[in-house]
Amino acid sequence: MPSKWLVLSINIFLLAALAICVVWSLCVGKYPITPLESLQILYANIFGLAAPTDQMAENVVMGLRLPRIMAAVVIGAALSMSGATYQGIFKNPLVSPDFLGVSSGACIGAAIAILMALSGTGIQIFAFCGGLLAVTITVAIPRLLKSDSNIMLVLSGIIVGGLMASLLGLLKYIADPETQLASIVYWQMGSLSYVNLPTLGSVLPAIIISTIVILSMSWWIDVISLGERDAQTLGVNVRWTRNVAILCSTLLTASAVCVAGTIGWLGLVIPHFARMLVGPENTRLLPAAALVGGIFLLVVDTAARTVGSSELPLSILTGIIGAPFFAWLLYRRRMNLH
Amino acid sequence: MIYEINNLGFTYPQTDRSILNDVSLTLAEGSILSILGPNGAGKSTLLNCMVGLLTPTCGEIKLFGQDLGTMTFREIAQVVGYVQQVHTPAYGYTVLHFVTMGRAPRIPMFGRPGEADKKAAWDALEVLEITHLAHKSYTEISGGEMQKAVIARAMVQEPKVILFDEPTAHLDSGNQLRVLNIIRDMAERGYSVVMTTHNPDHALLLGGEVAVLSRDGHLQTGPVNEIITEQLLLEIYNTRLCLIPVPELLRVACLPPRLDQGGQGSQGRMKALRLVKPVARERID
Repeated sequence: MPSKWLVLSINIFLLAALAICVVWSLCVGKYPITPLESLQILYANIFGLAAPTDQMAENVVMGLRLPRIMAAVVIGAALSMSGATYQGIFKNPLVSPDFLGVSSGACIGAAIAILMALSGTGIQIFAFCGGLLAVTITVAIPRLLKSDSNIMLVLSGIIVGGLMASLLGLLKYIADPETQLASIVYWQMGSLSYVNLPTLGSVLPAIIISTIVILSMSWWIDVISLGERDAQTLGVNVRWTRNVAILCSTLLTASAVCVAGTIGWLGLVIPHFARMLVGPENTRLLPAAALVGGIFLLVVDTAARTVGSSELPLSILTGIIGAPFFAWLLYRRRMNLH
Repeated sequence: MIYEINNLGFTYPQTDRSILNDVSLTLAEGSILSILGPNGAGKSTLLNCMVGLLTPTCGEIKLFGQDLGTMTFREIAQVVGYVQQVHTPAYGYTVLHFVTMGRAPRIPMFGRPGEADKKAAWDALEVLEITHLAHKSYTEISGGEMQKAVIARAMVQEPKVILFDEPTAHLDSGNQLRVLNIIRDMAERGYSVVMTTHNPDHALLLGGEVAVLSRDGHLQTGPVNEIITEQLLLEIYNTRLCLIPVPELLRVACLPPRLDQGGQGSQGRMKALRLVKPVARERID
């Protein structure tokens, strides 16, 4: 278990790494800019000065790259925290934000909106509602069966996820292959290419509030992760605490999904990596996971828009990086146990 | 009175078998109570009812005069510590962090443990002599050490009574005695102690009161030396156990007689055992 000071220095290091990645991401792309130039543009805009460089560079940095960078960091952080929280309250390290059916539900919502030929905002609203609806069903099934156990909730998540996947298949089947199908598939794979400041701004309040709540109850997530009976005999109102945590992490996931589509692996793998850095205590894990997740999605998204001639969907990259990485983590964990 | 339990009955839903039947029990402050009974008689069920994890089918439980059903988990946890059977959690928190979680009933919701809470946890580690484990991962310590950590966690709750559910299960002989010593110490420190056990000798060692749950879920209570008789042990366990005064130990011990003699099967088994050479097992931890 790393000491307090080591954890602090790890967090400072992560912050520095994030800053470097932001500057790097500002510079690279189809219109390359030097790091100095990009910092000058940032500085000038923050303090309301006249930009010292050409208008084109300023437009690229402020209009295109900065909003996208902010979205990548916020969404990466949101998905990672949501994953860490789910893993804590379901005392199961193999749980991810997708498993309550949030992502697939949001996908259905977005696909319906696309089939109805709605605009960007319409798609987001539908995605958000779809995600929340799926979670409501997932949480309602154990309630109907009068069971309060975690395993029932996980099974219920699998049921809802499977149902949603079939429904999505149906929607894709009836979608117009020329226009709508590509749009649904692209959305299902996740991308930040259509993100702008108003879109991000519309989900930011939900993300900020959920983050504050989750961070302030992080110690209690530790207690719940001991198991329901242990937590109850320690005086915790497990049902209430767990529902608040589920609500907040679902809001985080749904907000992320409705901006960027579904991004796989991130919410599962990043908490594990952060746990390796700072230990399993959620008071330390959640901030570290947020930082690592932000860095990771920023790097992946920057790669997605610079590698190759056309943009790659994010889930392809997160999957290609995430799956082997997860295998490596499991391997390492096994080694540590012996 | 800490606990007043009257005419308690418990039947698991979807089964007709009643586990507890007309159970009445009182627990005074500073007392020790061992609960004996055959497998499945409902010892753990009784403890689970006493902390509100299970709701009894009938009867009432009063904790410091208040009906347990009207109390929140938090209110119960402030006066009752429950040492459940050890299980390995999903995450390897440090022992210190694990023990600090015992402060949960005294920390406001959305709060975090402060320095005083960590001090209390450290003090509990000192009492149980496991400070050297403080920064070790809870998932990597031995069963006996885990049991001590769970007891330390119950101590930092600062309860009036601590319930132990088979605290000696899965422990080697040395650790069993160490845990019994700890339980006796706890009683001397002013905690009331309730313990379920499969070993009647542990009840004799601990002294105090004993409660015996019969197969049909009835309970009889009284002082250890009055209640535990060879006749009663035969009824509980369906097998003969002897109560022998051992002058060297200055106590009465509960001992089994010699194992069945003469059976061809058992002799064959003994021979087979002798044939197996002891092999030094490699440590797998």
